[in-house]
This record gives sequence, C-alpha cells and structure tokens, in this order.
Amino acid sequence: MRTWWSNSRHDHGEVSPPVDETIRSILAQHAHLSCDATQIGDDADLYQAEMTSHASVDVMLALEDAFGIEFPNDMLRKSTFRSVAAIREAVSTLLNPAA
Amino acid sequence: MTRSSIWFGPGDRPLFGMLHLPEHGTARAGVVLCSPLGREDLWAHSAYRLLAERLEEEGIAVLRFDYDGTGDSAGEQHDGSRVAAWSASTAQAMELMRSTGAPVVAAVGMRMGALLAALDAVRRPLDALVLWDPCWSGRSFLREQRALQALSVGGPEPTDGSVQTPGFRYDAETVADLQRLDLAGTEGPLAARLFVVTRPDRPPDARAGERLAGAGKLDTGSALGQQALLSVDGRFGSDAQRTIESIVAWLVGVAAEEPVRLEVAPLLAREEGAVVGAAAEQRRIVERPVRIGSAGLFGILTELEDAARAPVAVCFNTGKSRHVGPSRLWVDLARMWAARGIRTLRVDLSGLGDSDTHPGQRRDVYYPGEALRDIEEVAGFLAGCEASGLVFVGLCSGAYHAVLGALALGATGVCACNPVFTGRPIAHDLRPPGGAEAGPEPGAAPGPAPVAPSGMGTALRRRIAGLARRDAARAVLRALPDGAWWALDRLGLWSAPATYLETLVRAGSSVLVVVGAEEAVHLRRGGARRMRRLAAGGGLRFDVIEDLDHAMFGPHDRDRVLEIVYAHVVEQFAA
Repeated sequence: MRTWWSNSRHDHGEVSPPVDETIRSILAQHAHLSCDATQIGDDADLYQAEMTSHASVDVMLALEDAFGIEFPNDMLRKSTFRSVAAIREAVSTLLNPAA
Repeated sequence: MTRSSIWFGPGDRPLFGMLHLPEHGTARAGVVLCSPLGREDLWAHSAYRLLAERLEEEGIAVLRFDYDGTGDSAGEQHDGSRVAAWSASTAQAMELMRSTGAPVVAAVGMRMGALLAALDAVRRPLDALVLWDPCWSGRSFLREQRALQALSVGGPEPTDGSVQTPGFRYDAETVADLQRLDLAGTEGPLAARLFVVTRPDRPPDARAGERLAGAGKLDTGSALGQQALLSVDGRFGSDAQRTIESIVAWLVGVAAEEPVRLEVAPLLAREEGAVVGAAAEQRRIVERPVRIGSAGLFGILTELEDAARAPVAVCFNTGKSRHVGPSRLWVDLARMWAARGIRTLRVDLSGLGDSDTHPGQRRDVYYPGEALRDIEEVAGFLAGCEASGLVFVGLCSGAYHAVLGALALGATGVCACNPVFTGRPIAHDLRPPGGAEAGPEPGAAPGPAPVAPSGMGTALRRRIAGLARRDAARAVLRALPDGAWWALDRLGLWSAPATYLETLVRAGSSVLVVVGAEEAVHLRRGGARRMRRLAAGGGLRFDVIEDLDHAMFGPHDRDRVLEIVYAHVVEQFAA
C-alpha cells in the first residue's frame, strides 16, 4: 500500500548509496547552500557557504533519518557539520562505534 | 469584524486570549489556535494573527490564546507542572469555544501547539483539526530545540536535567513530562476531519503516519516557508501565506453552511482587566489591555490595583516579537515592578504584534517609520494615566526606539539592552511624524553603520549607507581605530552613539545600557572617553556582560539582564 508518510532507507533495509552521495544529497535538499552541494569541496566550510544554524539542524535530522543514527549531545557542535568531510567522519563514527 | 482581548480560565490564574468575531456575532465555525512553544511562539505570532484575520473574514470565529505561564497569561515559565498546565490551558480554550455554541468546533496547532491540540482531542475529539508542521512527540521538540541551541548559540549544557533552548529553559520536571508526550502512543479518533500540513522535506515518520490514518478523515498538504518563518529573523514570506490560505480554504470547507449567533457576552464581560499576581500586604497586581492612538496600538498595562501616581516603564518590541518581550522578559519585569509600585506598559508599535497599521503602512517592519508618532501617542495616553515619569525600555531595535523616544520626548530614564543603531540616523527619525524619509531596512544588521549629519547631501548619505551594508566595506570600517571614528564624528561624517547617550544624560535622563562584548565595541566607537566621563558622573550606567548573546538566547542571559534592569529601575524610580 502506498503511504503518504516517510519510511527511512534505514527502515527499509535498502542497499544504501555511498555515504558521500547521501550526505551531499541531504545538503542539497536541506542546507540551502549558496553553491551546488554536489560539487562543493570536501573541506569547504558549509557555514561560509551560507548554511544557517537552522538549516544545520534540518541537515542533522535528515542524516539521522537516512543513516538510522542519533547524534549524541556531545556531537551537537558547529564543527560536526562544518564540512562534508566532518559530517562523513561523524557519520562513520556513529555507524561503526567500535572502529 | 471585531477583535477583543479576553481573560478566561481560572479566576486566580487567568489565561489571556484574543477573540476574533465575524460581523453580527455569528459564525459558521469556531477555531482555537494553539501556539507553538518558546521561541517558535514568538516568530509564529504574525502568521497566527493573519490566519485569524483571514478566518474571521470567512465568517469563522477564532480564539488565539497563551498557555499558562506563557505570553500574557498569568504564571511564570519556571512554575512547576508546566506540561500539565499547558494541557489544561488547551482544554480550557477548547471548552470556551464549545461554550459559544459554534456549530463546528475546530483547532489549528503549529509545532508543539499541534501536539497539545491533538492530545486534547484524544480526550474529546473535535469536529476538525489542523496539524501544521507538527511535533509528533515532546522528545522530538526538545531534541530539535536543544540542537538549535547548540548549533546557533552554544554554551555549556545544563547538568541538572534541564534543557536550554534558544531563550527558554525547561527544567528537569518539564523535560521528563515532555518526553512522555507522544501522539503515536495514543489511540482513537482525533477529529471527524483532519488536515495535516507538513514540510515537504519533513514528512511524518511511519509511526505518526499510521496513527493519523485511523484518527479521522484525513487530508494532507504542504507547510511551505516554515524554516524561514521559524528562523531567527522570522521571515514571513509568500510561501507561508500560501500555507495559511490552504488552511483557510480547508476550514471553510468543513465549516457549517449557515452561521449561528455565538454566546460570547460572558467572555467579553471579562475583557477589561485581570489579577495576575499579588504584592506585599495582599495588594493585587492587575493587567489591563489597552488600545492607543490612531493605529490602535496594542499594549498591556500592569499596575497595583490601587496604584498611586507612579512612573511608567514603557517596553518596546524586539525585532518583530510581540509585546511580551524577548523570552517573555517584559512580562516578568512588569509584574515584578508592579509589586514595587512601578507601572509598566508593554506595547506593540504600529505594524507589529497585535497593533494595527497607519494608512499605507506595511506590517512586520522592525523599525517602522511611524515609530516616533507611535511613541508620542503612547506618551499622550500615559499622560492621562497620572504617569509621574517615563522610563523607556528595549532590546536591540527596541533599545533604538527607547533612545529615539527619550531624545524626542524626554524621559525620566532609559534602559537600552544591546541597542542597534542602523543605517538610519536618529536625526531623521526625530523629524516631525509624517516625514517622507524612508525607514532603515527591516532587520538591518548591527554594525558601525555611519550616521550622516542632516546637512549632508542625500546622494552622499545614501552612498555611505550603501557602503556600510556591503560586507567588505563593513570589515574595513570595523578595523578603523577609535581615533578615526572620533575624527569622523568631529568632521560630521558620522555620529558616535555616545552623542545620543550624552544628550540624554544632559537632559536629565538616568540611562542604563546593558551590552555584550561586541555591542560594547560598537557603542564605544568614537566616544569611549565621553562614555567614561558620563559613567563617572553617575548619569550613565554601562554594564558589559562579556558573553551576552545579542538576542539573549545564551544560558542565563535572560535572567542576568532581568536582574540588572529590574534592580536599576527600582533603585532609580521606585517611591
């Protein structure tokens, strides 16, 4: 049955696209950057690219939904969401806590 | 169309509401608007007001109200059992609407207001319910607000179980109670008809979706413009207006065919004033809504029931926030001052909050060009209330208006918190009301915007103001040493804020300025020595709180500023 609500990829157990691709797709949808999220450099400062703190909260929520993770309070810092590389590192840490 | 401020609920703890009644006192439906909580309530106000007015035009009665301990209602945000109190307030508002005999009773709730409305509907289903960008659980609300605090303001996390959100802190009991609120954990119908309006990029999760599927005949829509509406600068754009129109159309569709006369006389009987607290010797603190002047400026006057002639503190809007003040600071100050014999009028300037507009005026302009005219009308109103003096109080744009009003009309005192002097010179605002000069750009960023002397050519003034708005030029201006600012001031190319403060002190005003470190740098520019002299002379108190957030969203910011401003005014002006 078709539903109007959201089932996260994580819930469906679908084969996920690469982490980077998902992050950039989320940035494109939620970060409201002044440039193309799919082209932005790994280390480019997303806040410099006009991501607001409100947009970064939307990015955080979307990342949690897409990867089935929850950012702990000690990761709720601007630096966690400052760049694609920083987000990738945070997501990897939460996906592989033992690594 | 009529719009009346009312008090309802428990007599010893009244709730404040604004009742919109269509013409002839008849309506096809009655709708209760349940507000979001905290900072989101402040930004959603203009959208709620427009929604209420649009519904009223369509022949639907509307009640807007403040939960216990929020807005203008009695109580404080740090009282115990907050969640139970908000739920009880929601139930009382619903009962009030039912008591009018409205043929269809509905509710609209945004964010936490949607959750509170839905949970009340579990207890007693409604005819219709609109969930507008809802929080599906108290936990999700807290999580989002906590993240917003961490990512926008920062500061240490509380260690006592409380949660700090932008401008509002929820204690451990409230946090625990909020964590238990979960719509998906309930069962049964919510309303005969449901309209769920969600952000395109935030569809409901599966649990919420499945819960709503069995809650009533369901329609869905898009909540456009929500991020802008609920962001720090509270932009209320055309997207949000389209959302409002979709909600209006849906409610018109579920309303009764024929209007019926509503029973509202008992409600309007309590329109005048209400007891909101007590002072020493069992004297009662009373609040009374007022309308002032040609634009119907809305305000709330707080005083002791048997107040003698006393000074009146006038508190202005902060940005587009309504008269309750930043993090509800004006409400708490008003009630604390009343207990010490000082009256307070918290007022919306024209086009802001619940005030109307002058002909041709736009709404939601932070620095309305009509501000001085408004302040003059406020002063005229208070002259008829035996005010023994005026103390103008404000934060950010409100501080600007406090200084403007005092310069123009004279004032016993001024309390300016993080004042922002924008590209518009105060000299322009001091021109007679009705002048043709345009106001500063709404929401203009704080900074060293030059103030041109009145003798300078219009083109040159515009060029300097335009330069100041460019980031690069602004960076250069920021790097100028104080001596350069002093020279610019002496040459008449710019006016140091110290000039305004000096003028006020020389005119006999007692001036308090409370600022963060960055704002202190701006204010001292070109006049640091004069500021020190004024402070040494006792006419100026200049308090710098190093880590004070500009909007006072940091942990304890609000309470620190409240303590300073409260004590200063009592010390200077209480009998």
